[in-house]
Amino acid sequence: MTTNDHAHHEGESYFDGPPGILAKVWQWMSTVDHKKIGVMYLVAVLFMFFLGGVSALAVRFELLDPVRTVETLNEAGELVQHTTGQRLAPLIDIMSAQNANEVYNRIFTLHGALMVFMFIIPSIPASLGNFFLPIMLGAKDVAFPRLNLLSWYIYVIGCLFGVLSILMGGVDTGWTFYTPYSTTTDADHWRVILMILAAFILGFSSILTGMNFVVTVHKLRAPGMGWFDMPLFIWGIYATAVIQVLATPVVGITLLLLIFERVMHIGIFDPSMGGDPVLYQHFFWFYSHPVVYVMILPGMAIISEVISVHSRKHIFGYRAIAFSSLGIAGVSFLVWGHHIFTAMGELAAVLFSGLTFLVAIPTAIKVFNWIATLYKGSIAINTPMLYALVFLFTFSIGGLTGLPLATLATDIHLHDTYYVVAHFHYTMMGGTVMAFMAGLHHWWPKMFGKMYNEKTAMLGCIIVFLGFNLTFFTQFFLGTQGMPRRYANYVDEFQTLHIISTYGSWLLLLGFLIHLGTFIASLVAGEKAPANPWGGLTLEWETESPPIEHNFHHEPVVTHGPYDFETTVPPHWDPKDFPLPENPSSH
Amino acid sequence: MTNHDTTNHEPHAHGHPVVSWQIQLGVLLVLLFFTFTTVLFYNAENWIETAFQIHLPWWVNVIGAMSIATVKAILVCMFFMGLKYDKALNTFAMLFCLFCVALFLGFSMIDLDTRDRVDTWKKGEIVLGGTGKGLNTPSIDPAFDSTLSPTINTKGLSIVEFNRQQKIEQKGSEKAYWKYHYKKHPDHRHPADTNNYFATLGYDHQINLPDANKAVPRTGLTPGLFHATDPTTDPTTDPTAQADQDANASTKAKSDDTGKDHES
Amino acid sequence: MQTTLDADTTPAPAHIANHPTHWRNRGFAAHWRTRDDDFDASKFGMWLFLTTEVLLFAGIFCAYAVFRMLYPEAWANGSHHLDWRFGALNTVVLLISSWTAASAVRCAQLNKQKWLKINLIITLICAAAFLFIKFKFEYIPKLSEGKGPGAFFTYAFAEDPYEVLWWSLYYMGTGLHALHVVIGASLLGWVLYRSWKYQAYGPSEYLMVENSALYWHLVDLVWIFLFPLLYLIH
Repeated sequence: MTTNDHAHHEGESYFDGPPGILAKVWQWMSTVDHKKIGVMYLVAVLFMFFLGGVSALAVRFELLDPVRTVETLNEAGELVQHTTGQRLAPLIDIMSAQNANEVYNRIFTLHGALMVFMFIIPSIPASLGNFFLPIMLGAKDVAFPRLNLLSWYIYVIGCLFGVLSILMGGVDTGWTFYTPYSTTTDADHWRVILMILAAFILGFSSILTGMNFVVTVHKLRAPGMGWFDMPLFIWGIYATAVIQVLATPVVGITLLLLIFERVMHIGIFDPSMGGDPVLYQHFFWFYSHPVVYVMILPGMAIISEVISVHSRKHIFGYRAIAFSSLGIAGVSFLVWGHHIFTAMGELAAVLFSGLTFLVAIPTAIKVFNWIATLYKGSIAINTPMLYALVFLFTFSIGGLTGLPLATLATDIHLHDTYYVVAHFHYTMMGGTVMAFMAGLHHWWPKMFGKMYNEKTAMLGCIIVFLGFNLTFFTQFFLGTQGMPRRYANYVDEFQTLHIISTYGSWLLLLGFLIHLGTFIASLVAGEKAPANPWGGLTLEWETESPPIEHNFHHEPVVTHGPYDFETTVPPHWDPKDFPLPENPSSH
Repeated sequence: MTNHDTTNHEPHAHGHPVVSWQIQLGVLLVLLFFTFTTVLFYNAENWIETAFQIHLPWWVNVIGAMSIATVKAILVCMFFMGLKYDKALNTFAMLFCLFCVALFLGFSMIDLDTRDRVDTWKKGEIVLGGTGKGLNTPSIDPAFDSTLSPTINTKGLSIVEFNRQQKIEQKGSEKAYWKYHYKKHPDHRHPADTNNYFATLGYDHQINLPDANKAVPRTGLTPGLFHATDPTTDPTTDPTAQADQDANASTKAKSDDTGKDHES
Repeated sequence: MQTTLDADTTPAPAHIANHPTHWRNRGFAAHWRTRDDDFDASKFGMWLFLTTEVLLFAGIFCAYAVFRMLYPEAWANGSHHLDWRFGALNTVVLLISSWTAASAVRCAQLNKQKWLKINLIITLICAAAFLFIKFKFEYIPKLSEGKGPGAFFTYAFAEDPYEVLWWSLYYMGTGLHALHVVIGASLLGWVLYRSWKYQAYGPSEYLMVENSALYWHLVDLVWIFLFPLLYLIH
């Protein structure tokens, strides 16, 4: 392969490039450097997060009050009725929808599709994973750098298809495209088909990234780095990549069959032709359940790193965490039916319920190991650690609230209520997004060579934490009391909790805006970051901040484990600043 | 930048294995033979059925054809694709993938095959294809409350009805009870409100607007997933015709204010 | 057993031998330590991609299995409309093409450039023959009789109400497979072109041939399963 680095000599960071704005743009557009691709993905996923967040704010805005029919007297003294509470009604004409409910349906579908397909699935692997997987392994790049660039462009094209569908008004099927609605709605075919195609194309990006990562971990480790010398971040990304490779093709064929069902009416999901709409759900969830583990495993991988470095303590139970990552990936393929309990036959439901309980075990192992790592550690209070602690709290709630959903009897009542919404937001947002924030702050100095303002970042973290819990904890109660999900309207008794939830969403917005401000200020005027601000022991902390084009000046040789804080002075640290204990406990 | 082999011990001591042309041709002939076999098997099945008038069970065809196909696939994988001479990792990747395929097909088929199955110990409460109760039938059914708590004697009433009577006594009168109820659930008349306090108390003036709260009920069974007979309380409806009609029908707004029981 | 070390060492004609694309002159990507690492990793990557293709077709096989279980008569009736002789002929064609593809890899490994090209050409001819048989003797006659997928099913004499499902899955399965035949043939065509023009592949540089042949074998594997499932139901 050829890189365009002939112009500059070693020692310059990967950010530096040829002079001239056009040359720089071309360099970034044609780069095969995993770091640049990671940064491009980072900007894109954060932008998608913002768009998905705006649609979430719109959803919560509509839910501030239920739709009420009010009788009033008009000027002529006649009794007239009008409808209040349809806060999204002004959008009816813009979206050429039929009524405010349809506007609401399109907006929550937008929120789901954007957040799931365009933000959270690529989020950590494509941005932080792309950037740090090769560096942590001691490699110059991923296994297939050109494929990496192709992945990026496929992602961009997929997002464009999605945006095109949105600009044409969007779809109202929900991000899950359940049949028979998704195959019969919208006589004007293109919106639904475009959105489905967007998801299909994004799947290819996911597959290629996954393939790249699996081969990289197998083949590009530095000399001296065996499987059990790798940082746990790698184990998490590896398990994620395995799921991406195996599960994503199934959603590919599912979406393809869905398109043909719409266009040609092939009949496999249509009961009047003998088909089964629930078969679509089996096909869909065979991918979409493993994909939620694609979402959380990289987050867990980050937490392993952040907790260990910021408590300056060897991770507790390295092998347990490593194997539990693989265990979660494996068991994730066995449990997809728990999304379909209320539509399945009994025998299958019982089988899936039992299997679903299994997946809690490796997850819990990880949580206990992280807590044990914190115990008697030298805990630094900074933004990454704060976010890691937030993660432990919110993800545990998310995980535990999955158990009533896995239990058949209680799931009958909780299925398709706000309880489910709260559960998956606690795991996806309270899990992945919090871990993503932790990782971003942990690795920001390395990626961009600038420190960020710790105080404003911690303030942002606290506000995000408060806003998140206000928004979603109330939704557990809404769900157990019977508020269904995806409904724009509801009975009066739910209003108080909905109002609290909406106010929480505004707090969340404030928190993330503070973070955005902190990051921009850091890029513009942040102090220069040292090579190893936190005292980490993994290979990325041996490079400069930001790293040079080929990551390392010489191929690194691994001489210590990634978490040997008791026996090793971190790279670039003065031993005076890092006193080692005299009697290190053995691990 | 590309690397070129800089040291002069490239190619190194062991080159890549090359499958001999004899093995490749041999494998082709074996594959062609198995193709011939599977077609022969199919024709033999047909001949046996017509000549001896016996109906072979379905699994004979499936297991016969799939075994031969599997053998052919293994030969292609091992010799044409070179897995026999290759690193074990590649074989493991393909085997794990096939395991996932087996999971996918297996569990999906378990669900689709047993969709209508009702376990024997639930037969009293659940009826195949649904109990046939529509929205108009009252949901208070003593059969559902047949096992009473040992500490409460409900004198033959269902536990739901018993609790309602207790509350009526507590409130003083039936009207006071329904006033208390409709304050919280004003949208529709409760099925147990037989004296129509809904109207008396003035809650029935609302216009029913179609909104997201009211799901359109669909009745009927998907053919193939459920057996034909469906015991319903309304003998005039034919469930299978209903299924064919409803399946692709567009949403029809049905205003139905003797709606579901909202007590929860 | 033979290895690539036993390759034919005859030098190429002068006008090709000095071209940077000739297999003797090509390097390997800079981030790999050795050429073998590059080769093994790329082959593993290809196997991972093949697993994704298997899982893609798994969706079709799952739908097939589910509906065969639910509507066995429809499946038997539908299968009787297919002529197993064309299916068997297509199977033979694909098996032969698989053999020539594997043979092409072998020729690249042993630097038999002429036979490499001949094997690739035969593989492409078989691919074309497969598609020709499929379209001329199967798709077009069936479609003109009204045996089409889904909304295009206008056959008046279907004996089973769910036969349209059979035809939908038949077209989806064989159509997706035909698309993969086209993709595989394009890959092999590209290999043939580069081989013809530059002698780009040889004992130390045959990865592209290997990976394209692997893809082609996968196409053959899918057909090995599609054939009995579609044509040989009694």
